[in-house]
Amino acid sequence: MPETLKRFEEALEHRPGELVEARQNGKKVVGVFCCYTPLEIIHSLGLIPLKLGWGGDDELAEQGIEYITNIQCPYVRQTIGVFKEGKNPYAVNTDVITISAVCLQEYRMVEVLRYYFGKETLTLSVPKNYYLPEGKEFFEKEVEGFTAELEKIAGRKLDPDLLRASVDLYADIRNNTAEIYDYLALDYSPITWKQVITVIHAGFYLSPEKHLSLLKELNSELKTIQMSEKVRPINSVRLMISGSIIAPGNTKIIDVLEELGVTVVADDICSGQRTFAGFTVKEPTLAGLAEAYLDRIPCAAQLYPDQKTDKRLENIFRQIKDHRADGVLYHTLRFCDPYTFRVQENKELLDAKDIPFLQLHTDYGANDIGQLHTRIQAQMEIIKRRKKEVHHARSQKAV
Amino acid sequence: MGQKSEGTFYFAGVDIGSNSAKSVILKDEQIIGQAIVPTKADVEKSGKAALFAALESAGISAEDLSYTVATGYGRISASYADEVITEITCHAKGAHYFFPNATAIIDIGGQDSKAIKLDHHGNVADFVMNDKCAAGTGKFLEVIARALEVSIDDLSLKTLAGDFACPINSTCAIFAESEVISLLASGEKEANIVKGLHYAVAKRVSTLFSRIGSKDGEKVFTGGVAKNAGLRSALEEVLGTTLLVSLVDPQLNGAVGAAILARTNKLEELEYEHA
Repeated sequence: MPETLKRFEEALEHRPGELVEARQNGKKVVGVFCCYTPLEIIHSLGLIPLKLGWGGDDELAEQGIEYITNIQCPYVRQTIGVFKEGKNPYAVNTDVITISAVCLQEYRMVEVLRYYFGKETLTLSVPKNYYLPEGKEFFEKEVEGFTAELEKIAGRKLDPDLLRASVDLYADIRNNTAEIYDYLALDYSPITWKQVITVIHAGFYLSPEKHLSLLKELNSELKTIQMSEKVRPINSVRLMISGSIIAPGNTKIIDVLEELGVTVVADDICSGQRTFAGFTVKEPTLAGLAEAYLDRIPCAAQLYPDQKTDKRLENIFRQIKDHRADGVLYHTLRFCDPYTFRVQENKELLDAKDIPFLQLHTDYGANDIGQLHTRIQAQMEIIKRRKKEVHHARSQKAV
Repeated sequence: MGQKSEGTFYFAGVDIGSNSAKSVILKDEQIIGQAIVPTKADVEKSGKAALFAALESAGISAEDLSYTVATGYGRISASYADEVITEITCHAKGAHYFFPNATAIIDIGGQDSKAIKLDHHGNVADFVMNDKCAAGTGKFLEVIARALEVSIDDLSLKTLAGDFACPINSTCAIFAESEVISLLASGEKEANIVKGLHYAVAKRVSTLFSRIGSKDGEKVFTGGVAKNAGLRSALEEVLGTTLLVSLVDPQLNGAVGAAILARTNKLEELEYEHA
């Protein structure tokens, strides 16, 4: 395990205390849901951005049923449960909640937090026709209006120079994260996918300055780690994870994968790779940020008018190739319709390229662990056999 | 050890399901022993009990075995096995053993149902399993048999006396049970209810089947529920195809596949050692 990961842990231990102190000194904390909100704006106004949302705890998800029903998204249920319980230091220390409205269930969750928990909320509307000039124009105006609201909360006006600095800072974070993530493409990565995700999630809470310095430290350390060859590549199973959000705390699937010895080599999760990938801010202005955020690899809740220009699919295929994934594990969270609707489409597209596809439909309960085991293991058996056949055919040719 | 006489090898497959543990002994490629015992709370013991009963029926002892493969949900506690393989892969091999031209399998067991697509060598090309509930599984039929106060064997026979399939709306074991009770109370003929239940399961399972997209070729029906002729004919009707069921108890299919894989993998290992 890279030593620097301990430094991330330590920084996270101190973070709640820092937030309490900052708030005592008059600083405001802005909780952010979904990934279309430009964090740069929040940061440049002297506000503290936190990315919120939690998963993996069935008991907390149960608590959310008091406000919505049990046939709704467990991530949304749990996040409501976290606010209800009132123990999570990040939820407790949030002054204002913002949401970029893409997923309907998550949007409704923010309404619940306003109605029942009296939280001040701010909505950034995201157009469905994001690919049209009208959609882009709409979003630019939305970002302007959103910024005006944030200025009121911050008690100051946006400073173009400070915004430029924030844009550079976040770009640096994305680049450093991408550099760490790229190690997963190797046969023997010095860092695991689970660790990469932990590092990304640390950035949900840490100050961006602290996060960046730790990312840089980790990057220098990773360069020095020499990996010994443990498992021959032919016997390893390399999978890419795609699909619904895997929010902080939700380790259900990755734990099963690790137990079974699967190497996760890539993902396209909104709480993983999509936090930093496919993203360039061309100019450090509100318009530039609006353009970059709207143009990011879209959530499945967005419309894709044309399969050929669908950036989400393109991202999946590119990663399968670059990270040499043997197959795709498509995780759909129960009641997460946007991703569940697309299962068959994704399966057929991957089938056509002979890439094994396995859907895992699950929630935060533990009662289907055995079934997950069987499914993943059966998929591994398929992949291992295919790899062996390919290897065999190659060595026959060589003879 | 591992070989009774020069050149003769014995292999075992053990399939520990939620309802029963099955075991099959192979002498080379020939089935020479088999057993089905109920799965009890101690999964490890249940698997062993099946294995020893099968060994006894084959007239050999555990020391004669060259290789043992365990499968089924109880495979995680099978210290007696040399290797553990999922029931998906085992069912594929089992069905291929009986029907070399098989292209797809429907397996309905005690607590899950699955559809498996095969390639020409009996390898798994794709598979789909039911959700975590018992709808459309052996458990469902058990619950219904209990509500009707008949044995699971009689459930199959009862369909024959039915003149139409009474529509059953629920495949949830809990809801279907109360639906059955209210149908009985309203005077519906028992045989028609049973026929309706079989159609409800058949429809449920057919959606699994449609998801693997297997159109041509022979389809095989395996698992304990494949012994239910009423369900089999309902499934054939819903799917619009004939379903093959092996003459050897279809409940043993997973164990047969496990034994076949025990043989293949052991021979491969020996080949590798010699090479």
